Amino acid sequence: MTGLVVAVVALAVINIVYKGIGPAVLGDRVFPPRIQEIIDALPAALLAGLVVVNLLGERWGAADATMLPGLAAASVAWWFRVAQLGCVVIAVVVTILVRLL
Amino acid sequence: MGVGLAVGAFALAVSFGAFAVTNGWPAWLAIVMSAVTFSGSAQFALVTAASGGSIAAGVGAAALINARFIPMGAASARSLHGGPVQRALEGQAVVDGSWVAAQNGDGTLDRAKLFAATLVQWPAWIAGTAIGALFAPSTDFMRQFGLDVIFPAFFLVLLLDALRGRPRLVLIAVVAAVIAAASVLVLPGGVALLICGLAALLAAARTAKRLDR
Repeated sequence: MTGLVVAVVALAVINIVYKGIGPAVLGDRVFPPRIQEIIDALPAALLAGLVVVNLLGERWGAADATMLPGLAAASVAWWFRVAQLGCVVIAVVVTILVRLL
Repeated sequence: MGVGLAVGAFALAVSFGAFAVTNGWPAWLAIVMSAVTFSGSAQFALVTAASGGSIAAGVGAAALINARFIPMGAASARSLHGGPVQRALEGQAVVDGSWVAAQNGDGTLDRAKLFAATLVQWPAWIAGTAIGALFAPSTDFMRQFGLDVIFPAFFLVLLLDALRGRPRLVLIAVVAAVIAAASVLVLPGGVALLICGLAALLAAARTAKRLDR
């Protein structure tokens, strides 16, 4: 429990520093392309990791195939440039239908 | 524009609140986290990691995922007002949705739009977390109404948005997904996430090096 509180405080402080340091210190500085490329890659990699880790769960214990059609439908909707929220709603509806089958 | 962002934030926050409580977090702490962090991907990463007992790895993964705020903040600097302290304070308004919405298209940022978009999302984010955490719908309820798919679907769409038109990142994301799938088989979720981030660092450093030439 204490560990969780410390983690929340740590994350909040990290976030505040991240958001404050650019405007306060770095100004309008442009990052070297390599650094920028690396920073750009992090969210993509971690988002991919986050989706997979949560879909599978530890030791793949939470693997739930009924979510896949909904996620596939959301991807198709995204391809057709449906807004974020619309894609999520489609995923929910398809998942409900799949589970009713 | 603001309403759409607020509705999206609210829906994701409800699923976050429920997710945190079903993973053993006290409701109040989930709500506090939303108030002080206000960053969906980092919060989900931390809760995912902590449920496997690897809190430090969770903070590490969350810190990596949020490192994007450094360049985003720096890019906003000249559109913000005042001295360093005021600009640092104003920079706290930078969140993904608002930052994108406030782009003028010429590299500058509409400061008023940035603040307005964040001001509508933040209460929605906290209120949504509170509802999700306090009502803490049962796992069965979440499944029956497909609510458990909200969070993976949301991040999948965010991921697809991040990949649009950037083939280099597609490869990195696919590698990260494979690494995540393999490592979560034997490691706690947070460590798996952290490994994804580190692998991305390596892969990005390599591909970026190629760009330099």
